Amino acid sequence: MFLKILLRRLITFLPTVLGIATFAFILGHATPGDPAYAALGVDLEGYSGVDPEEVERVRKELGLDKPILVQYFNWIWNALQGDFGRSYVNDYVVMDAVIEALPNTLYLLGFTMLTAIIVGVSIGMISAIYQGTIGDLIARLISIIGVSTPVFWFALILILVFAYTLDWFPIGGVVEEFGPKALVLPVASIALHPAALIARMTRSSMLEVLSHDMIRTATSKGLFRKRIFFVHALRNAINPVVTVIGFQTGNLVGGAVAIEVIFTIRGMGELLITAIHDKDILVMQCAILVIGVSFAVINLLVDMIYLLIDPRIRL
Amino acid sequence: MNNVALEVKNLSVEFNVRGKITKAVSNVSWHVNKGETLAIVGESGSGKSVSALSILKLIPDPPGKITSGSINFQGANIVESSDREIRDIRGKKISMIFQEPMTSLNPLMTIGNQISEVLERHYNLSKKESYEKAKKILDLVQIPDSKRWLNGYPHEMSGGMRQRVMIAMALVCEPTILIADEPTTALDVTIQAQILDLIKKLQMDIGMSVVFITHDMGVVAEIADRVIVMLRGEKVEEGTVSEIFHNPKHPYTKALLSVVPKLGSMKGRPLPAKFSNIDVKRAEGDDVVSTKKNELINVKDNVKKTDPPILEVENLTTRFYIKSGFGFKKGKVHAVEGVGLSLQEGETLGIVGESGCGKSTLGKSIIRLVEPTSGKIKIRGKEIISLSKNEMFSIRKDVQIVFQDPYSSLNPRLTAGKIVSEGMRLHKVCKEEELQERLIKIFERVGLSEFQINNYPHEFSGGQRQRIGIARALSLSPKIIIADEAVSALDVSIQAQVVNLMMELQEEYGLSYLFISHDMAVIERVCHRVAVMYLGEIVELGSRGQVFENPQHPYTKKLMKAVPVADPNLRKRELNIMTDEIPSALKPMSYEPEKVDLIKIEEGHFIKPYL
Repeated sequence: MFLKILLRRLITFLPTVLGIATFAFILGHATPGDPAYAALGVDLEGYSGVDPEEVERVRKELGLDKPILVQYFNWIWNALQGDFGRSYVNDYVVMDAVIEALPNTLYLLGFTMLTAIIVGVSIGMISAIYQGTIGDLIARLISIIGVSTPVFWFALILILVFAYTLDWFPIGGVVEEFGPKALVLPVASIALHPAALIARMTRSSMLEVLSHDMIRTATSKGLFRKRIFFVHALRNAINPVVTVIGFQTGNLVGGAVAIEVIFTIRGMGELLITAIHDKDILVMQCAILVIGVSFAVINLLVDMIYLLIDPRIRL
Repeated sequence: MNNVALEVKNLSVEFNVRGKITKAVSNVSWHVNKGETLAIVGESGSGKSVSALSILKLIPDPPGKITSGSINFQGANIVESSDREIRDIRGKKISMIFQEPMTSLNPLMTIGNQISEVLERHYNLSKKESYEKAKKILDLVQIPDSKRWLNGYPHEMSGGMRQRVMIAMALVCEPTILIADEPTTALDVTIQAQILDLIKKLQMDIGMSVVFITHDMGVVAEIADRVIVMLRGEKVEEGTVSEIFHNPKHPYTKALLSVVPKLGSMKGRPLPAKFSNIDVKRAEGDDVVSTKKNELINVKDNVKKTDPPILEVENLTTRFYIKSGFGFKKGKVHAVEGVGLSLQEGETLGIVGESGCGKSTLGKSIIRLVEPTSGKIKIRGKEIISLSKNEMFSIRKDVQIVFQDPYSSLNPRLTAGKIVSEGMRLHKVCKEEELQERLIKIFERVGLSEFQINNYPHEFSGGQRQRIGIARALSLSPKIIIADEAVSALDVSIQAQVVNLMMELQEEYGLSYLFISHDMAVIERVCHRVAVMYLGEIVELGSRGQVFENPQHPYTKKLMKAVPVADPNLRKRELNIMTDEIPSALKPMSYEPEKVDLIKIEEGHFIKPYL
């Protein structure tokens, strides 16, 4: 049953990917400026100083003279084979750059979400179980602060305190250079917001479930509070939390861009920003595609988690 | 040896909601003997559930609090027991079943897991041993194919089966006392009869005491040895079941019994009858204390039998299609199938049946709130099924509906006056200046005060809200009112008032009612003619006397037999250990029902042929 649904979702997944690819292609080609000029290393203002024949040659070489539809199908066809071409601007294989950048982003996102889930769910649970006490109040205060603090500001504060003044962690860089230590500050700064949202959602969802009839039933069976909270209530309360986790992971892909720039992590966000800046459309398209597909994969995972949690949707 | 299993002494429970203290139970004492069934009966707000929940300390605290009294069980006072002590009693020595089997089970855990966790908690059994025991108890509560159900989930079960699982869960440790809080209220009558008998049988097997909380006097008569009547947190009467039913002392008990419609009490009467023992003018919230003699008051015979019928339905069919994820139709629900009926001016036609029989869909299809699949509907001789939306508009004025749930069917953002006058404005039944005057008249007619016109629905009680619903329907001077379970959510005393009001309105305005209900006794009380529905079809149709005194179709007979009658002398002797369920009306796409015409067995009495 589970496999059947997974298969069905995977079938609908293919058109989604094609849609993202098309969107990436359109975005790439809708950006102002001529990629042929960019390939020659001249920016928009410098058009006049370039030999038009040279431009024409480059355009032919890159296949930019062909009709747009042909370019589209060529790109899709090559992409299907894992070939995203060479960067016009910096002359490297696009796929290589992505393979280098992607793990850094995945590390960052993975650890961030893990932290956010652990911290968020725990705070939410404490808040719900000890509703109305001072602990609940503190937990709620923390989550309100967390929701309302801007990521970039918080990141800068963390750098100022823990990297610059105390010198406990490196200011930037990736795991390969500095080890896991490099991840602490970036993870802490981007985990704050999702952790706070998860905590709030866990609290309200738990409180709702705790008022359900089935909790009264569980209590009337003489079960221990631990079992009532963690086996009966939490599992029933987790669905909306999973939804928030899914949304937040998606949002983080965007949020990570700023963080990667601040902490100089060579991840997908940084790659995309540089490509946009350089008008390097092949890199740009590939980065958008990869980010978009990760978003879709996360959604697919969330759907599958729903299925695992709730037998009622296994229809 | 002491014969008392549980003793409650001077119990008081208070609820403190934002500083406002409500006494839910005040100074109540009762006891239950070993092996005995004690029924605690009362209307909503009587404190019957709260006093039961207090026994296991299950009232939410805060806001609830036991302020005084003691609950003595096996030599200890539960009120003073610690959390740990009470946890050892819960589920092992005293267990509980609840009203809503839908929401009382954990939807994400398997049946087996939910039963075995009780055993693992109280007896330290291994997973395997407790699953074996769980299977045995499922057999005991007559769950067919129990082994497979151990790994099943609650949502895969019907309501009746879920309540069996609840019972299994409560009884798996063989408790001394079972507290049953309205365990059959949410179930259909045939299923209710099965569950009641199951509880009786298990009580004999295990030898436990049962504390049975209910609002239904019929159920009390069916199951109780002794009865406690509660009113606004206080015990007003206590006695054996026959004392309570045959020689009630307290005026409230008397009044309560007189407003309970008793199936069979209308024998030999050709017309519907109003309730006598209530004072309609009294403010709601007070209690019925009139001591007038309990008698049936006939209504005037206003049915225009010779006129052409005001509503004619022929071969009406409404089906719903179940679509798969890709939009293909993969099944259909035959909600209403080939139904034919007619309604005369001034007549009440009862539609009775169990949940899922299509009675509500029939009501909605008749005024095309749900679009019928095929068939003919004639209202005052005019065929309406082919009418456009605009043409339907003027027809809707003649046919109004009163819905079941007075809490959710009124817009909470509108005042009562706005709700009632909305239709009048829309249909321009009178000039804007006259509107207020008409509104006051209607409010007074349904027993509300003109000062309540600007109040919002939440400021009214349940019965008053249903009066608003009736006023809303009445405001357009309709010819037909479809009452879809209009009194089902109300307490019996309020139900009697609303039923009386509806009958008075019928006498006054010559209204025709299509009275849809699952309650056989209410149907018997209010209807001239009755149609019994089963799986979307009418299986029996005839005058009230014909159907109730001489039922012919086996389903009608079964239904009649299952209704608990509020008279302990009529208690059934043999236990019904049937487990049959109501079949599903969901069919595969290829299914095409056979067209069967009703056969006439006497003048005006028809049944569907059966094997």
